Amino acid sequence: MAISLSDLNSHEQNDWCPQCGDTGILLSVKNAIIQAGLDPKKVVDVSGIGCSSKLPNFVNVNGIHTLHGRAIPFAEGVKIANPELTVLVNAGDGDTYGIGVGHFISAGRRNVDIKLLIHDNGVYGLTKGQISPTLQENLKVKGWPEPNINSALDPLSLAILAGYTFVARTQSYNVKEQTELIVKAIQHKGLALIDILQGCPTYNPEFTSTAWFSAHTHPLPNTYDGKVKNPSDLNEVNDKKTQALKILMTETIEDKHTGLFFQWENPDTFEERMKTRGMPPPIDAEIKDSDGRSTVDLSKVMEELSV
Amino acid sequence: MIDVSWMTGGKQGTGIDSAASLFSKTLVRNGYNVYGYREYFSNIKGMHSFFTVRISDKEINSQSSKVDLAVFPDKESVFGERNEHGEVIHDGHVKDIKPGGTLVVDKSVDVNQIGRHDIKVIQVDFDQIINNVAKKIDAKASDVMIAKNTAIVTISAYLFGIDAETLKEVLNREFSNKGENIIRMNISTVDETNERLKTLSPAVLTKLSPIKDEKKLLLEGYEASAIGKAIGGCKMQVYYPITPASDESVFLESHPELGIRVIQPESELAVIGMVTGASIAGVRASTSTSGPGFALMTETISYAGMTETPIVVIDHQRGAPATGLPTRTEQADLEFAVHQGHGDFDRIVLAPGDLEEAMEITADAFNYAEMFQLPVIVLNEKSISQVYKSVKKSYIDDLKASYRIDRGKLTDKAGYEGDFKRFKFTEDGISPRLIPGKSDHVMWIAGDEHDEYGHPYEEPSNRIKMMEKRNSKGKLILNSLDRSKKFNLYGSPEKAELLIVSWGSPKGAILDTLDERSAFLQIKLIEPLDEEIGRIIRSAKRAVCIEENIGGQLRQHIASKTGIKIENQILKYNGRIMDKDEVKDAIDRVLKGEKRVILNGY
Repeated sequence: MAISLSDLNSHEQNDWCPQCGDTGILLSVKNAIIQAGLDPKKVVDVSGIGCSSKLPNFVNVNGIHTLHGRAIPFAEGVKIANPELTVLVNAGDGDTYGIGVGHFISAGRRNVDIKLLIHDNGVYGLTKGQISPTLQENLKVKGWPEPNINSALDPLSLAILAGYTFVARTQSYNVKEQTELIVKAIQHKGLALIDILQGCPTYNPEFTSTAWFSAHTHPLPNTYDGKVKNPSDLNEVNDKKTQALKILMTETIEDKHTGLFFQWENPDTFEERMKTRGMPPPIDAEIKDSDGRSTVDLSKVMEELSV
Repeated sequence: MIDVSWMTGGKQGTGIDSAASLFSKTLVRNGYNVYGYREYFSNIKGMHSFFTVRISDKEINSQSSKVDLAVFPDKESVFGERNEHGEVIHDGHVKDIKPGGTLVVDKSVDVNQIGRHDIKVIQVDFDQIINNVAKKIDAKASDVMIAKNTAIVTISAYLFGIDAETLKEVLNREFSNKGENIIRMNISTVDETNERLKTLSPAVLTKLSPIKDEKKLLLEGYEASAIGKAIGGCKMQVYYPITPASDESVFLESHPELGIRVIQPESELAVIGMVTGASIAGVRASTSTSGPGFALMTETISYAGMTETPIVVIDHQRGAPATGLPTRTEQADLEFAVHQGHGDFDRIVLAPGDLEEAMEITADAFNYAEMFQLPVIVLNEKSISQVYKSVKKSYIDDLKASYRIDRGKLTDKAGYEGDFKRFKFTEDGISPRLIPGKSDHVMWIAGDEHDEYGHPYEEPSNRIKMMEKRNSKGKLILNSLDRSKKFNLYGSPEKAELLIVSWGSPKGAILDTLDERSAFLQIKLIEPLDEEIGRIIRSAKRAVCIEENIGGQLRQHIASKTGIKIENQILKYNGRIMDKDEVKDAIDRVLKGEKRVILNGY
């Protein structure tokens, strides 16, 4: 049965600031769930801590609001336990590229089929405007007394080098592009990052307003195709990665691209690699019989421990 | 009664473990009980490690302070070593031999320097054995060097009057998948060593003839934990490498037939996040770690408490604080485990006292986690996890047959209109839980204070009810669990002169020395602590708390829960396992009036 947007509303009202980019992300997430034809009961939205991470409470799918920086391992745990679930991560830039950056990089080694939708607004909003890892050096934002003393990291290049198999950027006020990219990410087999440039009208109005985004972001050229055509051709994979990195390395905050930078349908997700060990997914294992007895077979262990 | 102890030692990486394991297997095959322990440095190759095995025809649960037979292929094991500053790294093992005992050393050792006239010294030319075997099987001596371990076992078997054929059976079984050449090398070593011994014709020390007893297995402690997890229905084990906990995960990974996914992510922060995520997804998931890793998991333990998520964490305790003594033992994480995590929330802390209990308690931990929906911490110790012990096969069979998996209030139906209330207020404080994707409902979980639906909610009266919900589980747990799951009581505390109170691995040494003067209370359920514990201690004439830490953590815990400060203490914190002889001596001293006894046995 087809579901509508209202089916996806939870009973919670969002408490984001007026014009917060998160409302655009919320709408896009709901749109994408509908367009991808997902059963909401089989969707788990995992979040970290911050404005971004309130999002799961406003969607009528399973929601796990976790700890600051730890959304990725929680999401991996859910997905490995039950690969049937569609697992989304809504977390912020501080969450993912700051305190959780170790998990962000390491996730690339595993290619667990989870979808990272990262709300990237350059500031820590909920703690009142501290500077996040993605704000360019020397920029001064409204929410902070001094210009940024740190230089920024680029999550997209990092993701590509770390092994992410789907890497895209969009912005929070462009619901159409966001929805399309989230649908593609859901349909992609493997680990996906969508870095969503997010409007923070309260603490970073300078560089995240609709006007700023209209002036300084533009879609990747029509001629650009980030998708690897032959997944087993490693030369092509490297070419596509290099193509994406070349663009990313020349970008500034005044000139950013949106769209799908890189996609490689690598046949081996982590869940598939685990399957080669001959075990059913953990959720499918019948751990007890009708009497509650443990079904595990200890005979081989007992034989080995015999003398 | 037969009660003998044996020791070998050598450079780490030369296979001393395998000598001890082969020797132990030979004895268990002959029907004996063994209790073995290894001591080693945090090093891969070159540092001194040693292995002791106690052997008996009766139940044994601990080590002796001195051995009857020591067999050393290297000089350092005999005389000890110093570092470049002249500091003693270890002082050798001559002192560890009982008067009247036997020391077997290499031909290169100057026996005049041994300095003991109350022991017998036998010299064996290990290199000659190796060279002769190499010639016989047409191999390079350097490739045969590993067979020194087989020579050690052969000498030991000879001196205990064990038939060479029994040893060969064990070797054949041990190396059955290593190829014909390895088996030939080892069998030739047995023969060659026995040839040498015949010319020396030393007398047999104690003849360990085969005895009839029920079938036993030889387990190392971490295998007991792993078996407990398998019986408990664990399907995901996530871990980050750390001594002495990794062995358990490696064992699980090498047994895919148990159906437990073993995953090694980037850090303990990731580990505990994955475990908690998997558990929310409906899978029995666990990790094993040691102090430093356990400390890193702290924030998520608090999250599991807040979100009432069942998780099982085994802390194989080692010497602390910080990196501490990575390969040595200690019981210094009790207070940390009881209080771990910011804020107030109930949790369960369990402490097995031996391998058998490590199995049972680990399996139980998975039930408790789901029945009471909270984090369950099992405090293991290096001196359980790396103990080799003969365990009756029937014990494991019975445990598996009697264990029942109880998943608590897992459901797939809400039974009421509207959104699912994951944190529904109920009479017993435990809410129904569902498996995402396996139900007609969705559910929300939040580490923020939340309403019954799992949405963040800061309203004061809801906060009060939720706090009381999470902090009233202790009472429910104590009312639900049998006394036998909470503690063991040996003897009569009212009648005995002394009540010994302890937890964890000291159990073995205490049981092996317990006499009519003392009763023994072993606490297994550390948190919540049963009120009965207070009553038992009050009923005793005098009490002593025995534990392996400097702070007297169990004593402190009992005091904070019951108001009783146990007056006497026996403590050990040099990183080494408690042996029965030092414990016996310490109990005697307490009976004579000493208040605080510090053990220093090696």
